[in-house]
Amino acid sequence: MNIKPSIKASSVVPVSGRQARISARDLSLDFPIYDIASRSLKQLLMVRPIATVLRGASQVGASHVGGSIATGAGGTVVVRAIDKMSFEIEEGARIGLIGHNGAGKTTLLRTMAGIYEPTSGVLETAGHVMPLFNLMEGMMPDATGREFIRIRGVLLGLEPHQLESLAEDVIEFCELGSYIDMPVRTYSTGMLVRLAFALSTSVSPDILLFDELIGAGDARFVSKAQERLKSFVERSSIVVVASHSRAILDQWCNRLFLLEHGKLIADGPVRDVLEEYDRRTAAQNA
Amino acid sequence: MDKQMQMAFLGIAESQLEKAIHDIWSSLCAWRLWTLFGYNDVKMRYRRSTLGPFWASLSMAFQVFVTGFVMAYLFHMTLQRYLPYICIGLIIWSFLTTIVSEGANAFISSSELILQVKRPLFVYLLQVVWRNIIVGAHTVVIFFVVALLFGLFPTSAYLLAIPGFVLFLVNCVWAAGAVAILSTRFRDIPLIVTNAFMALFWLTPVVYQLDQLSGPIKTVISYNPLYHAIEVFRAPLLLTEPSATNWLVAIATAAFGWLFLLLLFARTRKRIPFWL
Repeated sequence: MNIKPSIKASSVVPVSGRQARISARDLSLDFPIYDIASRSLKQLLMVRPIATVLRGASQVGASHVGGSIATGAGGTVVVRAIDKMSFEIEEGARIGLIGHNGAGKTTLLRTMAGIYEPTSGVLETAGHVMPLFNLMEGMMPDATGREFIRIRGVLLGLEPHQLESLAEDVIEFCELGSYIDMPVRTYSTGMLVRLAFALSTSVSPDILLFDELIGAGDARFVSKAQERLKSFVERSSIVVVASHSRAILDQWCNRLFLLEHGKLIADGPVRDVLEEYDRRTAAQNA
Repeated sequence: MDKQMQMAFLGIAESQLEKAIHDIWSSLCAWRLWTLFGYNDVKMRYRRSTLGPFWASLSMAFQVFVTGFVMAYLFHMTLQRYLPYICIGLIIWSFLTTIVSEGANAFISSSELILQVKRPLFVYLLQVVWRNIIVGAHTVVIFFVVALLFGLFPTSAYLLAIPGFVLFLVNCVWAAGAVAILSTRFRDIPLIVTNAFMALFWLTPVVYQLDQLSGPIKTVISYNPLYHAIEVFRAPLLLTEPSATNWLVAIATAAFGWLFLLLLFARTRKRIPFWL
């Protein structure tokens, strides 16, 4: 595993150096599902001996049933969210992930981000990974806009002197004026999106992971945002985006992964994979 | 070979232990993150109040005086001896209990951040610790006022309070860490912890002194490691010296506690995101 614990990024200069790369061999991830009942001690004490307490549902093995849901030790439900995926993502790749809800797109992104550790198989990542799953990361309603910029900057791993230029850059772009010193709870949704968007696109990671692409704000801001998003994406060596929108996949991607029940069904050029996806959807509906 | 056998016995791969230690170490290095977060927590909690964190001081003062007067009356003790004792006792006790019971939510309340970016997990625990150090600094002011009022002027004995505090804090952190991990998996733990502290309050010399007891109950309570962990910090502030037993038990508790936390963390670290 080559994932850095913290992201080093700069609001001015892109930090890279190494060749960005993501490579997976037989990557699998089992996801234990805890409902309210199985989370409570009562059930645990009644059904399971203490020895298995923390082992939880790590074994799937033989009990793996048909699709992707299995019952682990002590009755915990385990979902095989990623099933033996192998792929190589090289510099310059713009990967789109498609598949039905629950096909494993978000889980795969989180695994690439290093948040979930694989159950088996190998995942190697080179380069600074920046996941952008939630634009509002670190938002506290009572914090002012300026405080939010600071929080986010520290979250991104910026040094104190970089925080200054980040603040300038963001304040100038989002045009919030004196609202920047008001609590963010007083902001309209559009203002919030502007601020969060400006912040999220102010650094330059090597590998950029999106769960659905960003888009909101008033018309004039949207075109301004598009431009910024474009240059932001172009600065990254690798982009992986999960989306249901064909327009986005067509515009941003040069290669698609089709996922189904945690398996990588197709991997290839956008047009081919979309055709395959349509064929499968039609077959399922028939 | 021996070490490997032991680790295998505990069901922990050695690399997991290394990763757990690395997580804790890189969390400590990310001090900018948890100090800012802890500070922001306090700031946001008191944002629109006039007194700000001095509310913590005020409510502590109130609690100390009411409990102090009632207890002094019940125990027939002179206020001059008793009030500083109960004051610092209650301040330390509330620090300990809040750090552990808020620690229970350290990962749960940061689940959004944890599922967003890969970061060392211990950061979120240190955030809770730092937040409570800030609040604690506001409440301990009350003790210094009370101490001066009752003629306990600072002497060089205070110096021992520094290692005493560090040792006390080290004990608080392992307890909070263990509770944080277990609570994420089992959501009953925070409730159990709250109840356990209610009982422990009366089993730990906080509002009474160990010397006031006699017979078997004194023996039982003198085995309570909480008493020793508190005493190494409290005694120097009351210008007395902690006993060798106090130091030994507090150090042993810290050592065993951290060993337990490390093994638990090694075993559960990669599962914590799934539990959220």
